[in-house]
Amino acid sequence: MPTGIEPTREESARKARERIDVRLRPEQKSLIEKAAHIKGLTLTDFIIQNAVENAKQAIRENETWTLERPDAELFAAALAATPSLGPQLTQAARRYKERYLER
Amino acid sequence: MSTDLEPKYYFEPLGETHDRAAFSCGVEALDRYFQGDPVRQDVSRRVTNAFVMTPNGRRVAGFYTLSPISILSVDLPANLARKLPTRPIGATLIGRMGRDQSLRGKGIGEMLLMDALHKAWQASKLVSCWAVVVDAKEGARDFYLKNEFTAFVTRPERLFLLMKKIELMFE
Repeated sequence: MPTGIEPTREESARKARERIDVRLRPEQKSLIEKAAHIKGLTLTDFIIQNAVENAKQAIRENETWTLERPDAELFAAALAATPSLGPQLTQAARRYKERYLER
Repeated sequence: MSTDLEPKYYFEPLGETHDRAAFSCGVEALDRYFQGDPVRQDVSRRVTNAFVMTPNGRRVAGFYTLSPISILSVDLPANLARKLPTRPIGATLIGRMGRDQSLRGKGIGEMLLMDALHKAWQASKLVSCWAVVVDAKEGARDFYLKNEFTAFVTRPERLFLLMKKIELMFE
């Protein structure tokens, strides 16, 4: 999906001038190096690709969260059921109302 | 549970007078978020609203954040598909919630949650809202389960409570 913020190859070369200095534990670094090696990527490319993908997903999820089958079923079944309160919510709501709404 | 703490606490939107730096819930990620700039940036960019529970307008006993989230259901069997719109539906997300660790065991968390649910319910009378969703940080999942939230299957740290159930609490 084009986002309008993905640079072309030439733009990447030209604009990749920002730096991030990150401190991490030695075992974290060797883990990332190992994974980058498996994927055939440089450490830098591996970190950037993963961080950018994670960032996009976090933003997407912040806006719209898509329920796949098991969760959509769970949610729809809950909506179809007649709601009833258990003792915990009933009592907690009563405590709250006594303290904050009925004064 | 002790009942002597209140009514000396009250709730208000996070402001400049609140001593955020002195607050610590013990969960590092939450403390970093609340003590530092992130919470203020999120609020000023209208990414989220933040509310605090305080005895005096300075000390923070607890806080929580509310923001909108849309839920889209796909891949539903026909018998359930009728129950849900095919468009995304609105919900309220409690993105973060924490109470100061010096105030453990006083029912603060319960009152924070009740206030969040009450605000979400009030907002639902103006803008459609089907559920309150929470992202439970470490150790908090049991708290929400005890408070009758339901965990999603594919993402068990995320839980929901339907607005029609919340309505029964406050109507």
